[in-house]
Amino acid sequence: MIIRSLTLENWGPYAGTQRLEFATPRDGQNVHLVMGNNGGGKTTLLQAMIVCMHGRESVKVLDSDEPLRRENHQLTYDRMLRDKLSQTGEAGPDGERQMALTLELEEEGGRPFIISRRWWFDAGNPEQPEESVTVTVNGEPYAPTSGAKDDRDDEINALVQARMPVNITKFFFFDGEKIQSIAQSDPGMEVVRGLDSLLGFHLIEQLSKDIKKAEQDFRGTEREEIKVSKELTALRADVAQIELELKGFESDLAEWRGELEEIDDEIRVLQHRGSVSPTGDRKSKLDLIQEIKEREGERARLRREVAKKVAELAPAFPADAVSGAIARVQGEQALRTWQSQLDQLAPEAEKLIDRVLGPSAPASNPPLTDAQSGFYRERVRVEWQHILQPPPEEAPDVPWFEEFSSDELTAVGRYLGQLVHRTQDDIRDRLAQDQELFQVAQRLQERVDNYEANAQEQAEVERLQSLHERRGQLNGEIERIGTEHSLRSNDLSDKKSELAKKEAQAAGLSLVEECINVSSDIEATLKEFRDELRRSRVTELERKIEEMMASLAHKGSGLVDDVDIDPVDFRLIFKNAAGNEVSQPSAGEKEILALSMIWALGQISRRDLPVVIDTPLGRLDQTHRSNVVGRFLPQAANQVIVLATDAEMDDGRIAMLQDHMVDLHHLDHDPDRSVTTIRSEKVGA
Amino acid sequence: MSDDTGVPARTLFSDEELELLRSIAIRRNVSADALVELLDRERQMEHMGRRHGLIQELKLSIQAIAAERISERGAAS
Repeated sequence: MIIRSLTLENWGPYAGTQRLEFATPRDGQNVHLVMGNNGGGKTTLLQAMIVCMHGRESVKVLDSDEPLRRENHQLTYDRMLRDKLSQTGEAGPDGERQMALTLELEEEGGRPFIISRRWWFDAGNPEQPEESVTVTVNGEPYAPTSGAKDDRDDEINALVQARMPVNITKFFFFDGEKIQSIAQSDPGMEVVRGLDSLLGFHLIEQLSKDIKKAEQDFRGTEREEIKVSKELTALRADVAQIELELKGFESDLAEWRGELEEIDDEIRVLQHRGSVSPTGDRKSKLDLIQEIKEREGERARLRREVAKKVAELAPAFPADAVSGAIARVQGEQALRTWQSQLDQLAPEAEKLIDRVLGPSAPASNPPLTDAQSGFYRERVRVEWQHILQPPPEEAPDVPWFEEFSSDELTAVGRYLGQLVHRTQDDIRDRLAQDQELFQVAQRLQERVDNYEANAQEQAEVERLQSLHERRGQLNGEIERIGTEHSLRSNDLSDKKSELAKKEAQAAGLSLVEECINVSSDIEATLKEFRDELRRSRVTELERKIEEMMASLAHKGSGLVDDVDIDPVDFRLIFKNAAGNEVSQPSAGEKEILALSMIWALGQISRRDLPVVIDTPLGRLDQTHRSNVVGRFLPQAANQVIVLATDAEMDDGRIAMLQDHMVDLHHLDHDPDRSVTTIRSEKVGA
Repeated sequence: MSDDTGVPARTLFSDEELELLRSIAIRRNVSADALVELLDRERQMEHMGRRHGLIQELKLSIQAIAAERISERGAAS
């Protein structure tokens, strides 16, 4: 990430709107030099960048030497803003003044990230300015999702913190004269948090916390799983219970229906014996005699029907009519036969006539006349018929069945036969019924004759009554159980439906136990990774610090030769060449240590962050200054912005930096007006 | 706002460090690739300034790993 520009509006000595723009660092050229005198606005630029990024939280960076309570942050912040408001800027018509900062950053891939803050100072209440903050990410304004203003601002601040956490800002945006505080043996919790964030541990910590939350959710689900499992067991038990009940009902119903069938059979038998009246009592003698009469009446009817059937059949076929019909049929058949034969022989007669009387026949002497010839032709035809086959005597003069064929006559004969046959069956049936009725009547008569002595009959009556009573009970029970069965069947259906849903729910929950195991394994993995990473990175940090210290410090210049870092709390232990702990390094050593630490942190963190240093060389001697300029600044980061006085960065040191400089800016301060103007120039090609 | 903001978590760690993570993950039967993706997602959410829905995403990833483990055990048995 690099800083593209800083725009200031009425901020400190920067009246109106002024912009400090930085060209893109190129290979080997990464230093932007901003030159200004003391009081000219250098530190104000550093503060502007920090305030623009972090807003109220910037007090943690700017006043980091003093631990502040949260409520003091706001007071300190408002006071600082009030102090920064340029008095040379123009006020609005109602006396309101405005101040603004815009910091344009460029992330990896050239994505712009722009933070803008604006403050309004009401003339009536200038102590508590109103603030608004906006962020544009890759060209699109960021839209907070929170409702309240404070929550929206917090959301935006979190967005900025993701790129530049406030607790590590002091490692990258720092005042050279205060840098020693970084190299304290006891860095404090804020620094520890910053270092955790810088070294990527915070990401692992955050993921661990989130996995823990997920695990807690799963455990909640596990409780639900146990609950669902219990409910499932209960439902299955209910289903089994209802099925057992239904089986019991069905068994009872089958038994009762079987008994009912037997009762009905017995009732039928007893009723058939005729011992019971319609009212269910034993029949009296009069009842029995009445029944005999009814049977006799029935018998009489049957006999009448039989006589009628016989009478109907007889007139249909009188003997003489049948004979006459047969004679006619036979005569017709003889006539037809004779005619058929005649038809066959007629051509022979014509041949004979032709031979005797035809043109080729011998002529008579004298010849015959036409009339004589015709007479003899006719006589021959008639006599031929009589000679060959005289017509049968029985042939009728008028044909009777002329239009009927022999097949048709056969069919008529068959029909007549069937009619006779059916009538015979009807007669037989009636005679059989009559016989049965006769037998029933005989039995009834026996009962009448033996009425007083028939104890069995009384028993049958009682038995029948008992059977009817039991039948009634069974029907009642069957109806009751049938209703119960129907209701419980509905219950079973509902329970099965509920069971199916629960089983589906249980299937979805079955993963839960394994998810809890996976969560635990991930947490353990992250913890082990974090601990190993911390050890290895701290070791590397120590090595890098020592590497840069060796580069910056001149040999034999100081006491500190080695630095050990506690991997847990980042407590620094300074050691001399003999390996003994050094309790109080000098101020210069601390500054070298701090610069070395900053460089090492930048190397190890793998975060590509810019470094902005205000007055980097203030407390160092000449040799150290040259080392810092020549060895530290070009390697400190991909982008290094140096805010320096001409006393620090004389021509010689500028010449040392020449090959690494991207651009040069001057802060021209007018002490009479207390106004600073930014003047920029490009350096090199 | 586009989703591909920020730097993936994997670039915060060197190749050796990622290999260390992988070896620890394998030993604990956790998918190393899934773990790196989870770290990337944390970093992405941090950059986007929104963490809404992250826990639910994590749970889905965990469920996927859990289902794979169960499936592997089933295949092994």
